[in-house]
Amino acid sequence: MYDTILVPTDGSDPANRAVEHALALAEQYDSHVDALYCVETYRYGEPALSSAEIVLNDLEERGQALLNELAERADNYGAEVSTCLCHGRPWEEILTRADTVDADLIVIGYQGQSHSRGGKIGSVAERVVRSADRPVLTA
Amino acid sequence: MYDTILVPTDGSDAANRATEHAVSLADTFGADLYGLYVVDTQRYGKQALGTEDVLEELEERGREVLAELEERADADHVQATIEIIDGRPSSEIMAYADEIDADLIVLGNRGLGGIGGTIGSNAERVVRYGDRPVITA
Repeated sequence: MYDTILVPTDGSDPANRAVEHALALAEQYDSHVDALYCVETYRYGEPALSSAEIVLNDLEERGQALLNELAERADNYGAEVSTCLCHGRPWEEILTRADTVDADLIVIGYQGQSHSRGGKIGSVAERVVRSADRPVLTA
Repeated sequence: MYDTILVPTDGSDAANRATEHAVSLADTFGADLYGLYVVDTQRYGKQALGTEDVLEELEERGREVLAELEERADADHVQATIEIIDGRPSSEIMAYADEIDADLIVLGNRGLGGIGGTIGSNAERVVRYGDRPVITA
Protein backbone atom coordinates (compact mmCIF):
# COMPACT_ATOMS: atom_id res chain seq x y z
CA MET A 1 0.00 0.00 0.00
CA TYR A 2 2.78 2.42 0.93
CA ASP A 3 6.09 1.73 -0.80
CA THR A 4 7.39 5.25 -0.42
CA ILE A 5 6.43 7.63 2.38
CA LEU A 6 7.45 11.28 2.25
CA VAL A 7 7.76 13.05 5.58
CA PRO A 8 8.60 16.73 5.54
CA THR A 9 9.91 18.08 8.83
CA ASP A 10 10.74 21.42 10.38
CA GLY A 11 11.52 20.06 13.81
CA SER A 12 8.25 21.27 15.37
CA ASP A 13 6.21 19.07 17.71
CA PRO A 14 3.55 18.27 15.09
CA ALA A 15 6.31 17.44 12.59
CA ASN A 16 7.84 15.07 15.14
CA ARG A 17 4.44 13.47 15.63
CA ALA A 18 4.17 13.09 11.86
CA VAL A 19 7.57 11.40 11.85
CA GLU A 20 6.29 8.91 14.46
CA HIS A 21 3.34 8.06 12.23
CA ALA A 22 5.55 7.80 9.14
CA LEU A 23 8.00 5.46 10.84
CA ALA A 24 5.27 3.28 12.37
CA LEU A 25 3.70 2.93 8.92
CA ALA A 26 7.07 2.28 7.28
CA GLU A 27 7.81 -0.45 9.82
CA GLN A 28 4.55 -2.24 9.02
CA TYR A 29 4.55 -1.73 5.26
CA ASP A 30 8.31 -2.07 4.81
CA SER A 31 8.27 1.34 3.13
CA HIS A 32 11.10 3.55 2.00
CA VAL A 33 11.03 6.83 3.96
CA ASP A 34 12.06 10.05 2.27
CA ALA A 35 12.62 12.92 4.71
CA LEU A 36 12.55 16.51 3.52
CA TYR A 37 13.65 19.74 5.16
CA CYS A 38 12.94 22.93 3.28
CA VAL A 39 14.80 26.14 4.07
CA GLU A 40 12.02 28.61 3.66
CA THR A 41 13.68 31.12 1.34
CA TYR A 42 10.28 32.50 0.45
CA ARG A 43 10.05 33.73 4.02
CA TYR A 44 13.67 34.78 4.47
CA GLY A 45 14.61 35.56 0.87
CA GLU A 46 17.72 34.32 -0.92
CA PRO A 47 20.72 36.11 0.52
CA ALA A 48 21.69 39.47 -0.87
CA LEU A 49 23.61 40.44 2.23
CA SER A 50 26.28 38.46 3.99
CA SER A 51 24.32 38.47 7.26
CA ALA A 52 21.36 36.83 5.51
CA GLU A 53 23.74 34.24 4.17
CA ILE A 54 24.75 33.43 7.73
CA VAL A 55 21.06 32.98 8.67
CA LEU A 56 20.57 30.60 5.75
CA ASN A 57 23.66 28.66 6.68
CA ASP A 58 22.32 28.33 10.20
CA LEU A 59 18.98 27.08 8.86
CA GLU A 60 20.73 24.62 6.59
CA GLU A 61 22.78 23.31 9.48
CA ARG A 62 19.68 22.99 11.62
CA GLY A 63 17.88 21.22 8.77
CA GLN A 64 20.73 18.82 8.20
CA ALA A 65 20.88 18.04 11.93
CA LEU A 66 17.12 17.32 11.96
CA LEU A 67 17.42 15.06 8.93
CA ASN A 68 20.36 13.17 10.45
CA GLU A 69 18.41 12.66 13.66
CA LEU A 70 15.40 11.46 11.68
CA ALA A 71 17.55 9.04 9.68
CA GLU A 72 18.85 7.60 12.96
CA ARG A 73 15.31 7.15 14.27
CA ALA A 74 14.28 5.49 11.01
CA ASP A 75 17.18 3.13 11.44
CA ASN A 76 15.74 1.98 14.77
CA TYR A 77 12.52 1.08 12.95
CA GLY A 78 14.50 -0.82 10.34
CA ALA A 79 13.25 1.58 7.69
CA GLU A 80 15.30 2.48 4.66
CA VAL A 81 15.61 6.25 4.53
CA SER A 82 16.76 8.99 2.18
CA THR A 83 16.96 12.67 3.02
CA CYS A 84 16.70 15.88 1.04
CA LEU A 85 17.45 19.46 2.04
CA CYS A 86 16.12 22.12 -0.28
CA HIS A 87 15.34 25.84 -0.57
CA GLY A 88 12.00 27.31 -1.51
CA ARG A 89 8.36 27.54 -0.48
CA PRO A 90 7.75 24.52 1.72
CA TRP A 91 4.39 23.43 0.33
CA GLU A 92 5.62 23.67 -3.27
CA GLU A 93 8.83 21.83 -2.48
CA ILE A 94 6.88 19.11 -0.65
CA LEU A 95 4.65 18.52 -3.68
CA THR A 96 7.63 18.57 -6.07
CA ARG A 97 9.52 16.12 -3.88
CA ALA A 98 6.43 13.86 -3.66
CA ASP A 99 6.43 13.73 -7.47
CA THR A 100 10.18 13.12 -7.65
CA VAL A 101 10.12 10.14 -5.27
CA ASP A 102 6.60 9.14 -6.38
CA ALA A 103 5.38 9.05 -2.79
CA ASP A 104 2.38 6.83 -1.99
CA LEU A 105 1.76 8.86 1.13
CA ILE A 106 2.79 12.25 2.47
CA VAL A 107 2.79 12.46 6.28
CA ILE A 108 2.76 16.00 7.58
CA GLY A 109 2.30 17.76 10.92
CA TYR A 110 -0.93 19.71 10.92
CA GLN A 111 0.96 22.83 11.85
CA GLY A 112 4.63 23.71 11.76
CA GLN A 113 7.24 25.93 13.31
CA SER A 114 5.87 29.31 12.41
CA HIS A 115 2.44 28.54 13.76
CA SER A 116 1.64 30.25 17.04
CA ARG A 117 -2.12 29.79 17.47
CA GLY A 118 -3.42 26.49 18.73
CA GLY A 119 -6.03 24.23 17.24
CA LYS A 120 -5.92 25.32 13.62
CA ILE A 121 -4.18 23.71 10.72
CA GLY A 122 -1.05 25.44 9.43
CA SER A 123 -0.90 26.93 5.97
CA VAL A 124 1.73 24.50 4.69
CA ALA A 125 -0.26 21.43 5.73
CA GLU A 126 -3.46 22.94 4.39
CA ARG A 127 -1.94 23.71 0.99
CA VAL A 128 -0.42 20.24 0.75
CA VAL A 129 -3.74 18.57 1.60
CA ARG A 130 -5.55 20.80 -0.89
CA SER A 131 -3.10 20.53 -3.75
CA ALA A 132 -1.62 17.05 -3.51
CA ASP A 133 -2.99 14.43 -5.86
CA ARG A 134 -1.81 11.71 -3.50
CA PRO A 135 -2.86 10.50 -0.07
CA VAL A 136 -1.87 12.83 2.75
CA LEU A 137 -1.83 12.01 6.43
CA THR A 138 -2.08 15.06 8.68
CA ALA A 139 -1.02 14.19 12.21
CA MET B 1 -0.16 3.07 16.46
CA TYR B 2 -3.77 2.66 15.29
CA ASP B 3 -6.38 0.82 17.34
CA THR B 4 -9.55 2.45 16.03
CA ILE B 5 -9.93 3.56 12.42
CA LEU B 6 -12.93 5.44 11.09
CA VAL B 7 -13.78 5.54 7.40
CA PRO B 8 -16.72 7.74 6.47
CA THR B 9 -18.14 6.85 3.06
CA ASP B 10 -20.67 8.18 0.60
CA GLY B 11 -20.01 5.49 -1.98
CA SER B 12 -18.01 7.84 -4.24
CA ASP B 13 -14.80 6.75 -5.98
CA ALA B 14 -12.71 8.75 -3.53
CA ALA B 15 -14.52 7.20 -0.57
CA ASN B 16 -13.92 3.75 -2.03
CA ARG B 17 -10.24 4.62 -2.34
CA ALA B 18 -10.27 5.70 1.30
CA THR B 19 -11.92 2.38 2.20
CA GLU B 20 -9.05 0.50 0.52
CA HIS B 21 -6.57 2.39 2.69
CA ALA B 22 -8.65 1.96 5.84
CA VAL B 23 -9.10 -1.79 5.37
CA SER B 24 -5.40 -2.29 4.68
CA LEU B 25 -4.45 -0.23 7.74
CA ALA B 26 -6.97 -2.02 9.98
CA ASP B 27 -5.66 -5.35 8.74
CA THR B 28 -2.00 -4.34 9.14
CA PHE B 29 -2.34 -2.76 12.59
CA GLY B 30 -5.04 -5.12 13.87
CA ALA B 31 -7.29 -2.11 14.45
CA ASP B 32 -11.06 -1.94 14.84
CA LEU B 33 -12.65 -0.56 11.68
CA TYR B 34 -15.74 1.64 11.72
CA GLY B 35 -17.65 2.55 8.57
CA LEU B 36 -19.92 5.60 8.73
CA TYR B 37 -22.50 6.87 6.28
CA VAL B 38 -23.98 10.29 6.92
CA VAL B 39 -27.31 11.04 5.28
CA ASP B 40 -26.62 14.62 4.29
CA THR B 41 -29.79 16.24 5.60
CA GLN B 42 -28.17 19.65 5.34
CA ARG B 43 -27.66 19.39 1.59
CA TYR B 44 -31.23 18.46 0.85
CA GLY B 45 -32.84 20.64 3.48
CA LYS B 46 -35.75 19.95 5.75
CA GLN B 47 -38.43 20.73 3.17
CA ALA B 48 -37.19 18.19 0.66
CA LEU B 49 -36.95 15.69 3.47
CA GLY B 50 -40.41 16.57 4.77
CA THR B 51 -41.76 13.41 3.29
CA GLU B 52 -40.56 10.32 5.06
CA ASP B 53 -40.08 8.56 1.72
CA VAL B 54 -37.17 10.72 0.62
CA LEU B 55 -35.28 10.22 3.85
CA GLU B 56 -36.04 6.53 3.78
CA GLU B 57 -34.65 6.32 0.23
CA LEU B 58 -31.44 8.11 1.24
CA GLU B 59 -31.03 5.85 4.24
CA GLU B 60 -31.56 2.82 2.02
CA ARG B 61 -28.76 4.06 -0.23
CA GLY B 62 -26.59 4.47 2.87
CA ARG B 63 -27.25 0.92 3.99
CA GLU B 64 -26.24 -0.35 0.53
CA VAL B 65 -23.00 1.62 0.59
CA LEU B 66 -22.20 0.32 4.08
CA ALA B 67 -22.99 -3.25 3.07
CA GLU B 68 -20.43 -2.88 0.28
CA LEU B 69 -17.91 -1.55 2.78
CA GLU B 70 -18.55 -4.50 5.09
CA GLU B 71 -18.04 -6.88 2.20
CA ARG B 72 -14.82 -5.17 1.16
CA ALA B 73 -13.49 -5.41 4.72
CA ASP B 74 -14.62 -9.00 5.01
CA ALA B 75 -12.56 -9.90 1.94
CA ASP B 76 -9.47 -9.00 4.00
CA HIS B 77 -10.87 -10.73 7.10
CA VAL B 78 -11.48 -7.39 8.76
CA GLN B 79 -14.72 -7.03 10.66
CA ALA B 80 -16.25 -3.59 10.25
CA THR B 81 -18.73 -1.93 12.58
CA ILE B 82 -21.13 0.19 10.55
CA GLU B 83 -23.25 3.17 11.46
CA ILE B 84 -25.68 5.42 9.63
CA ILE B 85 -26.43 8.92 10.93
CA ASP B 86 -28.52 11.86 9.65
CA GLY B 87 -26.96 15.32 9.70
CA ARG B 88 -24.16 17.49 8.38
CA PRO B 89 -21.38 15.14 7.21
CA SER B 90 -18.33 16.96 8.60
CA SER B 91 -19.95 17.55 12.02
CA GLU B 92 -21.27 14.01 12.29
CA ILE B 93 -17.92 12.53 11.24
CA MET B 94 -16.11 14.47 13.97
CA ALA B 95 -18.77 13.68 16.58
CA TYR B 96 -18.68 9.97 15.73
CA ALA B 97 -14.86 10.00 15.77
CA ASP B 98 -15.09 11.38 19.32
CA GLU B 99 -17.65 8.77 20.30
CA ILE B 100 -15.49 5.83 19.22
CA ASP B 101 -12.25 7.69 20.05
CA ALA B 102 -10.80 7.06 16.60
CA ASP B 103 -7.04 7.43 16.35
CA LEU B 104 -7.23 7.74 12.59
CA ILE B 105 -9.87 8.98 10.15
CA VAL B 106 -9.49 7.97 6.49
CA LEU B 107 -11.42 10.15 4.08
CA GLY B 108 -11.90 10.40 0.35
CA ASN B 109 -10.40 13.71 -0.70
CA ARG B 110 -13.67 14.61 -2.34
CA GLY B 111 -17.07 13.06 -2.14
CA LEU B 112 -20.10 13.03 -4.35
CA GLY B 113 -20.42 16.81 -4.14
CA GLY B 114 -16.85 17.44 -5.34
CA ILE B 115 -15.97 19.37 -8.44
CA GLY B 116 -12.66 19.25 -10.27
CA GLY B 117 -9.31 18.99 -8.60
CA THR B 118 -9.92 20.54 -5.20
CA ILE B 119 -10.52 18.79 -1.93
CA GLY B 120 -14.14 18.43 -0.91
CA SER B 121 -15.59 20.72 1.73
CA ASN B 122 -16.41 17.91 4.16
CA ALA B 123 -12.91 16.46 3.95
CA GLU B 124 -11.45 19.91 4.37
CA ARG B 125 -13.54 20.65 7.48
CA VAL B 126 -12.56 17.36 9.10
CA VAL B 127 -8.86 18.00 8.41
CA ARG B 128 -9.13 21.62 9.49
CA TYR B 129 -11.25 21.37 12.62
CA GLY B 130 -10.83 17.77 13.70
CA ASP B 131 -8.09 17.17 16.25
CA ARG B 132 -7.31 13.65 15.10
CA PRO B 133 -4.92 12.30 12.47
CA VAL B 134 -6.61 12.21 9.07
CA ILE B 135 -5.62 10.55 5.81
CA THR B 136 -7.14 12.13 2.74
CA ALA B 137 -6.92 9.57 -0.05
